[in-house]
Amino acid sequence: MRLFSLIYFSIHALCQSAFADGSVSGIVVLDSQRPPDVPAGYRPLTVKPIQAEDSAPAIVWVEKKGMAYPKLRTSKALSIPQRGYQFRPAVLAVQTGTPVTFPNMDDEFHHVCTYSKPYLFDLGQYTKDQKLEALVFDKPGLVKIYCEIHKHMRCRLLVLETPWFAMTDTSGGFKITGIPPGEYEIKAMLPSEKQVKSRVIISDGKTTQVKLSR
Amino acid sequence: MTFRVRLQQGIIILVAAATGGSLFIAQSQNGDSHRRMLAQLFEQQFSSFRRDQQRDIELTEKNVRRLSESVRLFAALEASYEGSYQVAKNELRLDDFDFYRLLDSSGQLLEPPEGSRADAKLFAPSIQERLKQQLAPAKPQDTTSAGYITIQPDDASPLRIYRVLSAPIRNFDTTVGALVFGQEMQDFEKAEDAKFELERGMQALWLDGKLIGTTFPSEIAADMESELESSIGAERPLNVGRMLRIGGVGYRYMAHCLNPKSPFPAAYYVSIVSLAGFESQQRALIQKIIALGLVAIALASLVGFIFAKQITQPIRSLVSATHDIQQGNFQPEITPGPTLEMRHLADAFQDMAAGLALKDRYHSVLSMVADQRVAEQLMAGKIPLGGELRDVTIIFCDIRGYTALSAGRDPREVIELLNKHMSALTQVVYRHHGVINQFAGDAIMILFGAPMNNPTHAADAVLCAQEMLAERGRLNELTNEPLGIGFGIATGNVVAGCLGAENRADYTVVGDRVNLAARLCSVAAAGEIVIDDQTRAALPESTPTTPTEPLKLKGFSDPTIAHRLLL
Repeated sequence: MRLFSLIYFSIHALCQSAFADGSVSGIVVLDSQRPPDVPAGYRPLTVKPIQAEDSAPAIVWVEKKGMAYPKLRTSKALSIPQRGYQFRPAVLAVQTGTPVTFPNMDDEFHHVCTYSKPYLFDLGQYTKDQKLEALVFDKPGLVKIYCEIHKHMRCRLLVLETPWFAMTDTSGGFKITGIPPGEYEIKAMLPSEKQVKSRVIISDGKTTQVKLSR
Repeated sequence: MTFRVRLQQGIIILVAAATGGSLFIAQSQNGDSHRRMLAQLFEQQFSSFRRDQQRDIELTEKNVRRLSESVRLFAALEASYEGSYQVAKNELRLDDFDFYRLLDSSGQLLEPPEGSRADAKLFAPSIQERLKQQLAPAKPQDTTSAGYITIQPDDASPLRIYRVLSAPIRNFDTTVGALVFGQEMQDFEKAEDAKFELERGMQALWLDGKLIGTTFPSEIAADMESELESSIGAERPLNVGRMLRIGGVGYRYMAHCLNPKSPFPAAYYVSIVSLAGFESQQRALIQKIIALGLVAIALASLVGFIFAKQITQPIRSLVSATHDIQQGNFQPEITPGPTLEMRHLADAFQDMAAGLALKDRYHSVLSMVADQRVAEQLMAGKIPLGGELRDVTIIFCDIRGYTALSAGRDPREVIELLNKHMSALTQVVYRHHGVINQFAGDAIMILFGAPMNNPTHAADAVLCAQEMLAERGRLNELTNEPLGIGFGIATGNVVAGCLGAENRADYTVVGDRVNLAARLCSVAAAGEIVIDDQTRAALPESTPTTPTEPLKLKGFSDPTIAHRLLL
């Protein structure tokens, strides 16, 4: 019971502090590099038709050099399923230490692999029913994930140390909350994988407006 | 120039022209067919080479395409993964290449790790730089492109030729690098027992300004290289072919571009054939044709000589016969010649000679019965039948005492005496260009100024009469029967022409001056020359004459005063 009380209060305290932190919201001017320019003649043999790729917005995050980030977003295992012969989502950000699974939801084999440093992995060929172990991404960096069988399939997994990140909506709008006050660098990875950055000052209980563009 | 020389000249020119023509035709036809044959040979060689090449290239291209579409290799190169060569090695499952290299997206060659297939044993570290340089044109952004490179693994090894195929590695719109395959080419290496057969055509690869291939004769390589350099240059034509001479020997070559539009340096498949054999054949042919031509000229000349002789000999004979006829021999000896035509000519000539002989006889007779000049004028057709008015001088000369002389004598003696007398006087008349018109018994009638014009006919006549008188005087001294002769000379207009019937006529003059001359002759004593007024008027004043007493002459109503020439 005492343990339960401790956990409860800890969470409460965290929530309190979160509520006291500042936010940043704004807009990222998106560029338009996705989806890939697939030639009209590209017709891989698939059991079912290839579906459209998810819209791929930008990822926005705030970071500060030398800061020890709290592991706020690692507890929940994430899933990047392959469905309709696409990674869904096609672009995703995770905090370091987050376990991620790549379940196959199609009726065919997929073969997920990457040579991105430092996450060289190759899941081999697997089907829908195969049980997969989650991969824990504990080093920051951009992981470019492909399916060896379906060359159009690609996923960009951005592993960040900071827990303060968000995906923009399709028009580029975003909001990141719960950031302790202070001066930060705010960065965004555009659909073209190019990065833009700016400086931002986060104040208690306030929402700072930012516009990021190239 | 003689006919024979002309004929032989013509024959020589004709045969020489025919020989020259044959020479030209033979040479050009030979040359054309040889060129066609070479073009076929080059085409066959290149087709065979291209077929083999194409098969290899297609196979390699298939592999390259498969590999260049590998997601794994794309991902590895995109992430600049150190083990990219290993990834590529795992992806390559075929052995139809000798080496491969990876290029990053900027075109930089990625160093192959030790022991990988990409770093096969034949590639020592020392040659990596050269390899890198040669692969530099491969650009990841280009589509598949072919090139040719050369590598000498070590000093002892021959230069090896590799065909390289470069293909981009891309995933749709993203190019992350390029893959280059290399295959060694054996086509230009000489087998151990291969003979040097330049006559049949040798092949080499022309790359980077150099001819590569151990089958290629080194002694002509340098000249060929500069020739190719100048004809290919920067334009990079698909085909180049020409003839050139190296060291006095003709060569024909054909170069085909193996990699048009490639970023790699242009490589050409070069076939070359020596024309030495062909040229010596051509020379032999020329010599044979010339020899044949010379023999033909000699034979034709000989035949021409023989034929010419068949013509010239009878002609010479005819010429000589003509001379004979000119000399009065109307039966010349004629060699008729072997040909029918020449025989006909000889016959015709002999007929003509016979005709001429007959004419000559006629002429002689005519000259004898008429005065020679009259005969000539008659034959020339210059004497009109009707007669013409002419101013002439007529001499009549007869012998004094002829009746007494001839009476009681043998007429043959008289004739002989007269003939001697007439012959001597006739010679004098001819010397003075007088015309003997007729002999009548002892009288001679002589004309001056007819039938030919003579402006000094009166003076000539007088001179002639004097000379005749002198001649008679000389004859009188030699004979024991001296003859006295008298002359009557008259000058004036007379009608001169042929008088008589249509078939028989004499040339004579008619008029009172003729009568006058005859009458004056009859009054002249022996050794006297009696001339009329008109003759006297035509003589110089100084000519000594004395007028006669008025003479009553027959046929003249009035007494006539004539003049005696004082001798």
